[in-house]
Amino acid sequence: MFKNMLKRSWLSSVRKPARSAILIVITFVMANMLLATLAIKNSVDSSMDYAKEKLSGIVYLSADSEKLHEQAMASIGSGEAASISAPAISEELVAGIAESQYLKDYTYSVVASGNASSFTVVTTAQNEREQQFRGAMNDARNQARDQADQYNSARDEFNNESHDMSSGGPMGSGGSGGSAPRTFSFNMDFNFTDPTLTQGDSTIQGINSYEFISEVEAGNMSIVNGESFDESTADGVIISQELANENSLSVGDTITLKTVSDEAEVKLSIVGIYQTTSENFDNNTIYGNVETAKKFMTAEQISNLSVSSVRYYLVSASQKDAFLASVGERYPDLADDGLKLDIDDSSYQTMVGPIENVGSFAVTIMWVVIVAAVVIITLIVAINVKDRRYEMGVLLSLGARRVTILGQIFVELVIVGTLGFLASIGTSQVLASGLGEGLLAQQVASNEADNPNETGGQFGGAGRMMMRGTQARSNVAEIDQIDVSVGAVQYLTLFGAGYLILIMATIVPSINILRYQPKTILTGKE
Amino acid sequence: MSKLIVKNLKHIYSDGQNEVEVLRGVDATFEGGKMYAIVGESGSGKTTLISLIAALDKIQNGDIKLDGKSIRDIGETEFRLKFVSIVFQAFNLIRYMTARENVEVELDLAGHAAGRERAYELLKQVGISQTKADRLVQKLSGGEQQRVAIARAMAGDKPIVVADEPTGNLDENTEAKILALFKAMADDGKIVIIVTHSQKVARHAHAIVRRMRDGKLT
Ligand SMILES: Nc1ncnc2c1ncn2[C@@H]1O[C@H](COP(=O)(O)OP(=O)(O)O)[C@@H](O)[C@H]1O
Ligand SMILES: [Mg+2]
Repeated sequence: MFKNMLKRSWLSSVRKPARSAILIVITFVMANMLLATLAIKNSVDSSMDYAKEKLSGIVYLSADSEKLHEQAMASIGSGEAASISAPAISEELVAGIAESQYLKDYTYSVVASGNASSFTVVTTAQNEREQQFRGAMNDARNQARDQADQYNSARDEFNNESHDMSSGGPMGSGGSGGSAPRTFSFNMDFNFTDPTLTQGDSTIQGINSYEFISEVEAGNMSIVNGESFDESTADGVIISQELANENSLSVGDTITLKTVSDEAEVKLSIVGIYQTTSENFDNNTIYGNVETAKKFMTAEQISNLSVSSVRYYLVSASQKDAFLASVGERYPDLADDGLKLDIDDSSYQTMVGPIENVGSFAVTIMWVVIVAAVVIITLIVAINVKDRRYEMGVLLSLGARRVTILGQIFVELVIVGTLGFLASIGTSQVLASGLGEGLLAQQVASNEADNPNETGGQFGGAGRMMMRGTQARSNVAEIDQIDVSVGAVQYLTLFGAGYLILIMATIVPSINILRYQPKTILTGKE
Repeated sequence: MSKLIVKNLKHIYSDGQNEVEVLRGVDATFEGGKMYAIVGESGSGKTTLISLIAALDKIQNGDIKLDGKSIRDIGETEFRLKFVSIVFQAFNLIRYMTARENVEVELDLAGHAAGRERAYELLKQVGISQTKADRLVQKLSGGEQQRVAIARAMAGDKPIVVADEPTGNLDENTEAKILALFKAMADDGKIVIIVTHSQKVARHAHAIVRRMRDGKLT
């Protein structure tokens, strides 16, 4: 019986080549789109898993900026002087947390400032603008201070006068219950300080190992000459290629800087020369270990030192929660102190943002394709079935069972569908890669258009540099590459879903005819 | 020999409001080895009756029994598959198939092995050469197409053969030849029932004539 059904299906398919060709083309297109979107979705999912795995393996210790903001708003509301001060992260705390058994490594950095002595700093458009900005800030600060002084002397004048009046006035003085002299007791002060306004021309960043420099982690920095440094490299630093070229410095040379506070000389030896691909990078940044950076600080600065870019590297990303819990036990006041210990969710969003959009776009396309395929194939089958109403009646009159006739129409679709599906095996990889890369490029581009600051706004250089000092997490790059590969899973899904689509496309129009009695079908009275 | 008994058969067509009682208690007996001609005016219910005998429609009222067994009990599909072959005025062939393939469909359904050779043989019996047998049926003349339909009916080798105006579209010369083929099947022991509007056809075929009138068979 099945053989006969197949025979009729085959005859019907080869005797109507135009219809079969149309169906092959449609199933081919459908299969390609289905495979491409499935493969893109698959690739997106594994990229996101990778990002998650990678990022939840790193836990950050930083100031809880949301909490700080809340505190500031609360103090403004209660009429007190608004004071926002970021809590200090001491080396001691950082090291204490680092004792956890869940960690394989950790890092932090300190930022110090000094003035070039034996060499000259490189000038860039960026740091020129920075200088202008600082100048403007200083002017504004001085003006504000002058203004405050004026108010304060006006207050003194007023208070003196009012004192004179009350002592010589008609009510007399010293009487209890008599009105006290009206005086003002405010004190205007303007105390705006920004470490960057008083710093030297060179930034010395101290970090426990070269590998943990965020530029290096982001893959934007490499050593082009000499070697990197670590905790044991006393006074050894790496400088930028630009700085080296400007001053004809090379590995092994010694440079001298002066501290900002007391202009004491500090001698550093160049162990390596780095190059970075980051835009708006301050090429005057000198990297060394933490001890080296501390040489530019006063004893007081060292005792109040707040470190930055604190990152803990977990042995396994899955132990993140256990690690956080154990730290919570040992340092229960962390949150009250305005500190936050967590994975970098915003970096995750940055990383996966574009690719996640590509993924959901692919899913949308996939459903559109499936719905369109069902509709189009159903319509073709419906037209075709109407055409073949007569044939169905004949087969019924000969004693063929309804399921066999339904089966025949389905098998016809399977024949052309399989050809379409098989053909797509050859082409879907090309389409999938092209589509995946195209969609991602578009997403990355629109992402950049939405966030121009990230690639350099007016104060991009300064902004970024300052951020790097306080926040560890601005250097994660979005995932801008997608490796889409169409594999066995996608093919299996295609054949499963594809045949399901064909079944759906067969059943409705066929049942619509086959529910009638053969006489009704043959006499065309349905 | 087989015996087909139609008992008090009634049939009503209704399309929403209107009801037409087309068959109002048809009684008849048809025996194997004989050829019957059902005549009657257009619209008298001939096609309705023959469709019920061919199990192409559900029996509403009354019964049709072959050798004591009701179509209802046998089941319409089974009845069509095993007991009745149908030839229509409109030939009812599958258009995208050749003459031989059309006959093979019936042989396949009957579970006949070596269908191809048997199909050529049957087509030859009704006067279709091998060359014509390999043509798509839509490229054959009306008379040839009806021969193919008859060959297909013969292929089933079922006890009942019914035909609804099988010569309606054919010229007289061809008509005679086609009727002879039906006669041969009757001589072979089958119950052959032909619906025709023409008394002349009925007489020519040496058939037992029955008339449809007022929803009854006389
Ligand atoms: N499916 C149907 N629905 C409604 N009326 C029908 C249907 N089939 C036939 N009829 C009506 O039943 C009557 C008998 O039809 P039919 O059996 O075809 O007559 P005949 O074959 O003798 O010309 C006619 O009046 C016809 O219009
Ligand atoms: Mg009729």
